[in-house]
Amino acid sequence: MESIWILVPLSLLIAAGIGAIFWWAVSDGQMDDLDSPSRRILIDDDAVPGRGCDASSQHAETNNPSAP
Amino acid sequence: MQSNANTYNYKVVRQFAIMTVVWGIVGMLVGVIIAAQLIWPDLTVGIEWLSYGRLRPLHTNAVIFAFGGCALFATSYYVVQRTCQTRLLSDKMAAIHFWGWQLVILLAAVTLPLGITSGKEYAELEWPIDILITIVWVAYAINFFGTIMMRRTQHIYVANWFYGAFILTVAILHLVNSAAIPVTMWKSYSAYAGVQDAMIQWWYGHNAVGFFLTAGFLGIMYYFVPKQAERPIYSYRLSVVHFWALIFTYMWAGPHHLHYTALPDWAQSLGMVFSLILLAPSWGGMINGIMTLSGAWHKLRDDPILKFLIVSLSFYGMSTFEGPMLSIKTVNGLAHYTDWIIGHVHSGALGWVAFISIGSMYYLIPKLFGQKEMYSVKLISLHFWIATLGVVLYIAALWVSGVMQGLMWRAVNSDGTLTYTFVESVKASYPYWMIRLLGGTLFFSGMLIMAYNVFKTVAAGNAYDAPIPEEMSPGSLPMPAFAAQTAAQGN
Repeated sequence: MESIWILVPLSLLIAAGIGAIFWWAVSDGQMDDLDSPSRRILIDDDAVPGRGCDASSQHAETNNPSAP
Repeated sequence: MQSNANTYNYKVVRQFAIMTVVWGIVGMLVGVIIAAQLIWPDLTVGIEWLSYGRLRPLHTNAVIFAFGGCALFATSYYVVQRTCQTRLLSDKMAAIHFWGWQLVILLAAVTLPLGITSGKEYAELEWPIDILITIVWVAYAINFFGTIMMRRTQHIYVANWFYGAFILTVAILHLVNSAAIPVTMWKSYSAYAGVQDAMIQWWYGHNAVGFFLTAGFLGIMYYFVPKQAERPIYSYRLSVVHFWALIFTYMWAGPHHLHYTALPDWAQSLGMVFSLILLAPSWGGMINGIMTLSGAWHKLRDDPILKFLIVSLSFYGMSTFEGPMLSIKTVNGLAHYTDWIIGHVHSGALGWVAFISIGSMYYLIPKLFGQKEMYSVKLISLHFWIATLGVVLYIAALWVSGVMQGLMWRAVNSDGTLTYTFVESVKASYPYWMIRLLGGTLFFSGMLIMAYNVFKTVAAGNAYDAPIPEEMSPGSLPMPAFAAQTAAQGN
């Protein structure tokens, strides 16, 4: 099972890498707010302007869709 | 490039989105052909380039890397730009990625029927193509992570984490598993031998399932399910836990592909244990996606795109339950090498991967061509029902034939001889292979309906590049403002 000598160190290296990225994510504040990011993608309106159901959506990029 | 500065790069998204549909049709057509070849072995009248052994890797490469790959690239470029509120780092690198990847697919479509193969499952392409893949992948990685580094939002949305893990891990897997010593231009030998090679191969093989066919598509799920449902993901906290749990535990599931082989017993057991552990993060993600609809289940009734997305999660839940069960050695003793495994793969590949890709394409394509919605919502609905019927027929038929084959192969007479010859089990499988062919043909027909619908949508619209909001929308408020708000509420 010599392949273990490649796969185990590689896995440990990857795990260490994942750990480092996790550490960075925490210290960067990526996990400080785990509520609003899920709503932010809904506020970002990606509908095509002028193709909405009503005339008011002419400036769709400045409108906020109704919050859930 | 100055004029492009205030729009998103939708061009590369459009290119990959259209090719998703094209390669889906090609890959699934080859699948239908090889399913028919099992019933009628002389279907392609003895032409060696069209024999089962040559077409089968073409089918897997086309559906995984051409269809699935294009869906991942299209959606990841869309999601990373929209959630980071910035244009891609480099349009040129995006073009290299698109055309380079199409070249890889074309080379695969030529070399595999010619019998040029490294013989490694899901990594059949020979070394010159492997090098091309590496170059294209580096362009993709730089472009994706570069865009994240240029983001105008402080927070990196969870879908980008899944895409990022997919990009990095596939790069490592490809480099390690494809290490080979070239002999001629189109022939190389693996850098590993015997059981070592098998171990590396399935370390690659299962992690390709985990990071190409799972993590990447979970990225699609975490963006397109909330967007289509117009509701935030059920629990953002759970999605973050889901991500870290999944990537920490996935790496060692591979040995379950080598149960009862020359692989040491402890390595097989290790693979089984890690496969069982995987049930937890997988179901966490599945529940998180489906529960997004909680309180709004009625949306499922008349929105066929949402049907595609939510049913894909049901199939994800089913196949990630079936997978750990199949990895248990005693269950595997019955199921291994039978049709059950092919059924399991397709419940994941058709039910999960194809459904979520199709759903996200129906969401994306109108937006990329300046349309409100697809040409015909009714045809999306028709596609959904035809595809669902196709998957169910396909996997149910192979469950039955798989268990039947397993039982026939292990049946022993009282004097210790085998009850059935192998060919008897083949003969008994024909009715189920017919049903499988019917299911596959239905699924393929659904793709043709999609192609027509996409064609009409594209013909009615024009290429559209959305503007990047100049003022940061409330959604992109810098982190401190949000943190302060939440903190004030919390205390």
